[in-house]
Amino acid sequence: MIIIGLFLIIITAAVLIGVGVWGIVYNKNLVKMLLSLEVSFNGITLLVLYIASTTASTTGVLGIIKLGAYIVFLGIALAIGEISIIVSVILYMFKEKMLNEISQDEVGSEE
Amino acid sequence: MSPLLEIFASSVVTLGSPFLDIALLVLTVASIIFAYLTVTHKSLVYSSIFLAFVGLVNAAFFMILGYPLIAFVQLIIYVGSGVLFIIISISMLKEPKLTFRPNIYSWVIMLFIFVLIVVIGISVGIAPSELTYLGIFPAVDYLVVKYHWFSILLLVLALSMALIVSIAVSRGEKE
Repeated sequence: MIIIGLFLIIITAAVLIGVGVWGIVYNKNLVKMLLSLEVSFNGITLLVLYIASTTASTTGVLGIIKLGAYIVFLGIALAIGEISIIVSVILYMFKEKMLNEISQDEVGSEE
Repeated sequence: MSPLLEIFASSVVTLGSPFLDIALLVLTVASIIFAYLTVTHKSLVYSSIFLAFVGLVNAAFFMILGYPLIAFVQLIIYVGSGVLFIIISISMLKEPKLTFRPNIYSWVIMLFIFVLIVVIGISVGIAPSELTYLGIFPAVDYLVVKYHWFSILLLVLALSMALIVSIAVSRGEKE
């Protein structure tokens, strides 16, 4: 049962990353591509934390802080910045009529 | 044993109980379904909401893995600010018409990445027989879980209400 539990975490991370990449490949919509990227990001954080949990060595201050946790902290902060900037850019493009719809198909086809 | 080590020992989480295995199975299925809906749903608003659910399920995974503090950061910062920002931003825009156009290349790439990660994950031996976790700042994890669970419960309720309100706003409902 233990191995099944651990295997499920790997499966989940793999599916999340795969589905995210799948969405990035076939979606033509900028926001949908961003959302697919975020799904992949969730899978990656899960995988990193899982690997950090299963490795025996510790590192950092007092030897109690794991490097993987630091990476995930940094990753979440970067993801929030990325979301804010990209959504703002998409909103700006939409307001400035650079995008008729929030779709990649419309980029450059307005004129 | 020093107090720090005692706190650490109390914050150790071990897998292996049937309850945790069933919880992992449910979380896995929910995560996969929500991820698929995020990518394929026609409405951008609902896609964002499903992404919020993916974040929530991921936070539960982090909690099970022994990182409650990161789970709360995921809950507060990622779901609370990031995904709600997307939802509210999109709800202010005209809803675009989307079509579902999967092709063979996307399926092949997804299967390749899936198999690659599973094979690598198993072959490098990241599946020991028992898990022991430290978490980040075990003392903080311990304090958060033991003494501030009610605040966390309120936080989850507030987040759920914010999600419901964002759905209502995006659906154009007044009051």
